[in-house]
Amino acid sequence: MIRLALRSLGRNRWRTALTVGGVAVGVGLIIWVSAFTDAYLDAMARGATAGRLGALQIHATAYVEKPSLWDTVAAPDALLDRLAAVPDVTGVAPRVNGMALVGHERRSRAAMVLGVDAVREPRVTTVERAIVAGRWLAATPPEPPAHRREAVLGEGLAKHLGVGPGDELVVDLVTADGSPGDDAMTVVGLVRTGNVEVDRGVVYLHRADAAYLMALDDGAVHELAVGLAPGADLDRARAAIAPLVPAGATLQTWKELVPDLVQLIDVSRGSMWIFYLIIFALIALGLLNTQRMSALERRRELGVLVAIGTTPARLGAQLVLEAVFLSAVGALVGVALGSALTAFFAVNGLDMGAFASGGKGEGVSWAGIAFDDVIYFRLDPAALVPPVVWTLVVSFFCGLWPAIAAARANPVTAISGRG
Amino acid sequence: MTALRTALSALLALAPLALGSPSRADDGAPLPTVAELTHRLDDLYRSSASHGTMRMEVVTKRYSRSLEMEAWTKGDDLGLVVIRAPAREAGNASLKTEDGLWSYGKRSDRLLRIPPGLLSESWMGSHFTNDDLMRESSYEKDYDTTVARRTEDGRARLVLTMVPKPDTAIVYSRLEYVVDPDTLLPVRLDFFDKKSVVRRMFFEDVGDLGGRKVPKTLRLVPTDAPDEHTIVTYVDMTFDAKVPAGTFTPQGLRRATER
Repeated sequence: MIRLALRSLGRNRWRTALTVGGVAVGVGLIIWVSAFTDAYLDAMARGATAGRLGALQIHATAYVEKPSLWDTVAAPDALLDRLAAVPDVTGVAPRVNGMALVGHERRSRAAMVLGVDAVREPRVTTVERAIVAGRWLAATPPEPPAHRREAVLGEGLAKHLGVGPGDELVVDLVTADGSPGDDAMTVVGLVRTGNVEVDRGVVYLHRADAAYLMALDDGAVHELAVGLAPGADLDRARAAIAPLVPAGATLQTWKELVPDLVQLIDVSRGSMWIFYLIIFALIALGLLNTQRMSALERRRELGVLVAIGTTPARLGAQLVLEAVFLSAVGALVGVALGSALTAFFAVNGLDMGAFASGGKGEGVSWAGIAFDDVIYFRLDPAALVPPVVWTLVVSFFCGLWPAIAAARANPVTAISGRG
Repeated sequence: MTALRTALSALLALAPLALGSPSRADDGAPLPTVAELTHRLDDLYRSSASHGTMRMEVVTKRYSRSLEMEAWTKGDDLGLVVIRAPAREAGNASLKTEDGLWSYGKRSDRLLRIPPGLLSESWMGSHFTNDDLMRESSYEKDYDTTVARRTEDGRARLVLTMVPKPDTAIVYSRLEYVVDPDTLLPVRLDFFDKKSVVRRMFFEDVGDLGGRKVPKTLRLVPTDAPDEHTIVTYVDMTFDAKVPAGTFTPQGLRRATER
């Protein structure tokens, strides 16, 4: 029966090849697009966490409800070290968050101040790698008044102010006790993180400097950002960190911190089903057409088969087998095609910058979340199975209808060509 | 008034009172005339120039903070306040000249003019506003003043009610200056917005200051946050001091902040 099915398929090679090709393109497309979607959404999540958020954050509970200068958490080094020692944790970044007027005689702008630990921060975020001019904050803050305090600016902010590495910048911080929080600092570097919010409006200072100028207690922070190793399980890490969180503070994962983004990712993933549905509908129509045409063409032959004693069930089964076989070959070719494409982009990456209006090198930013220009696909063998299975299911049903129609046909009218 | 005005250069809106007509209390006893009161209050702290030190304590629900300051004044228009302690703020200063109010940041070595839009903002994180420091409104010109007797907590008081004239740009609808009828020293000043008191200043701790018997402590309490206050205490004061005119220039300011 299989030989017969193969032989029937071999009889109209063009049609068979076209149908196989159609199925292959469909399956290949699904594999490639789902790999692309995964990579894109992963990049988005990474952009959200690696640029600034970190995978988890700890704040004073009151700060979570409404960020305020006065709602701080005491973060002694011992606590930081204990947190950093949790498995899968790459580092813990203590931060003092504030607002400042930054500028010079001619230009000024309100900016967000992040007082960071120059050594611990790069273990959580990509900020040190994002330096495009000058350097990152020194490991040991310079001692004023002999040396000026250091500032690293977002590239866009620096451009607006017309300052670069080596230039003087007056930073006037909003302070906890209403006292002036001004100082003349030296710009030591510029960052381009790809995160628009950071690049256009953030000033990085040494945490100790920011705390001093803002009249905060030593060791007080607004935020502890925790970085996780790639592929680490977020929920497991959360459970491991939770016991170390000081009283009065709240631990949140990035999914809790930016629920909008999580929702966006879920919706994006969910909406892919519409695309899959369309592809399968096209595959189904193609198969249906092929099988129906083939059955009609071979009406006489099938009539003869019935006449010489082939049972309708056997005939129907053979026709279904043809359809399944056809699509199985198509699916396998599709898997090969999709995997090859995915593998290519896994190695070479897809340059999303080409699609962004911002031009090259600016990073892609969407809904305030920035991600890398180039996204790298990941070939997930598990992702190859569903499209194949679904194709076979679809092909089974598509083969069924022409098969039933053919099996029910009256052999007399079929052979005579009248029916 | 003038404690602050003298010391902080017209810090408060309490300067020379209008010379009005004598008024009569209901009980028929003669009241001091507005002119008499004015002279008395004016002369309390008045001097051609002054030099003194003071402490300021600011308490809000968020923080409390204590400053030591040195101040110079000359005439009605010139004033300089330099913070001496704590170290974090030492050298910061406020300068008042005929041209406006300036804020000096020691760390950034920047002298910035306070723009008119920020005059109602807090002065150095206290409950005083920049406007309190700047105000040059003349009570003679800008207010209609009347005097009456009142009994408060069983004590006889004189109350000077000062209502801004219609075309003045004064943020308060009315000021009530409560004065001790025996010493003619100020006791309290209420600032009204429409019908209600928005802040109160208490004059306390009467004692010797630079050879004069005056209230040495001013306590400002905002009505909407009665737990908060700013207290200014004069530590010492030289009235009619010799203050060089160059004190009230950017150069003079920098010289003063470097000490």
